[in-house]
Amino acid sequence: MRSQVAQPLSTEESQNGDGMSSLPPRRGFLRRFQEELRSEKVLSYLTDVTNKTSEALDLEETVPFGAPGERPIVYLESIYRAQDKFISLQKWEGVVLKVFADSFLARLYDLTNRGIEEEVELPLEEISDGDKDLVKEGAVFYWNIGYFDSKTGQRKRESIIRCRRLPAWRREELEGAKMEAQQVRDLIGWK
Amino acid sequence: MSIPQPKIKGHSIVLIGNFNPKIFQPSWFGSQGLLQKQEAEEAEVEIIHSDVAIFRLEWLRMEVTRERFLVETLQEAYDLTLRDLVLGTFSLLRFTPIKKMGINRDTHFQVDSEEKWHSVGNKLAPKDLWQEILERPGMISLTMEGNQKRDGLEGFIRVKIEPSARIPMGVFFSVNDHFEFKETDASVGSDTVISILREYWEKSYKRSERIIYSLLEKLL
Repeated sequence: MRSQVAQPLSTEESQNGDGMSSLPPRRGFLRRFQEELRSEKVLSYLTDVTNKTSEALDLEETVPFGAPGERPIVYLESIYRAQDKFISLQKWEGVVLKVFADSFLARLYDLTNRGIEEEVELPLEEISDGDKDLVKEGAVFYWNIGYFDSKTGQRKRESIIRCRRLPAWRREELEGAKMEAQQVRDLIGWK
Repeated sequence: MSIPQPKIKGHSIVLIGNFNPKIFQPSWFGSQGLLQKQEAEEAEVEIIHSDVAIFRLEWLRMEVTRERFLVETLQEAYDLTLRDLVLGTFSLLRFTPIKKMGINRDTHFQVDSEEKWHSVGNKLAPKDLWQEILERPGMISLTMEGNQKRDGLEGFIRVKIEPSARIPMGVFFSVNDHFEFKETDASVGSDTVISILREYWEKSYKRSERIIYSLLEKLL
């Protein structure tokens, strides 16, 4: 016996009674969906199918599913939900230079028109509470000004600042960077 | 002739490899500092299971199965945050075997007349061939693929054009920048993917924009 899971069992699993199939367990959940897919794959719009099977194409594609002609591996029935959208009119990458009591100084790199750099002082109020702890010297952030289209269709102009979140550098990464720097120093003969 | 402003821009990263979906839950991302704590707490979880994990934030949708990892956003303000999320995730899960990666950009444009809208399909798929075969033939989708080799890695760029399903008189462009990693490579794991994503994200973005806008110029 296998304990009840939150997902519906495939037909094959149900008929076997104990939920075991000849497939590895992890494939069991997907089996039902893959069976359903086979008849639909003939509709594939892809132009290059000469040396690939349609099954391989479905499993190997690195595009999101959902557009016409694409079929998911796991077909979870979901209702289309309108989502908020944002189109950037201007975007910058910023580096925090100095933090004051209620503002911070930053150098901005224009990502819309490359090559332009400028320094600005921004109020800390512009930063969302979840990111405030990250505002320190050297921190990287992204600043976008653009149109926010809500899921209900309302358009408004918005400014969004988001701090960069990456795990701390690993020791081997730091060692690698040091070695690379040393190689450059050796190459240019800088002692 | 003026090029219309995009109405919707979507960004996504898809990885093909071996994943443990149960790990990919909002609380894990929150505890690792990869997402804001509050947004992790308020994430809308559709399912967390050993075979599949799906959740949404205001700006993000993540879907992970055992073979596939997908993150996507329709908010351009978060495109770099999306990239950083993948970099951070697989810096922590660095022994995750990954064999393919797609950096994808989707853009919807609205054209200002029905005539122009039809002319896009007519230019891409002339109807002469179809007139005698089908009644009122129309183009539903067209995909073109070009090979792309970078740093010794196999790959391709696949461009898809369709009538937009989201906006009236809209044209949808999708660019799939696809990278393949050798499975026999000793560095298999996510290190290669991280360095490729770091190096090629911006190049890929610029190329996608170039492809889309040069096609638009020719089509409108």
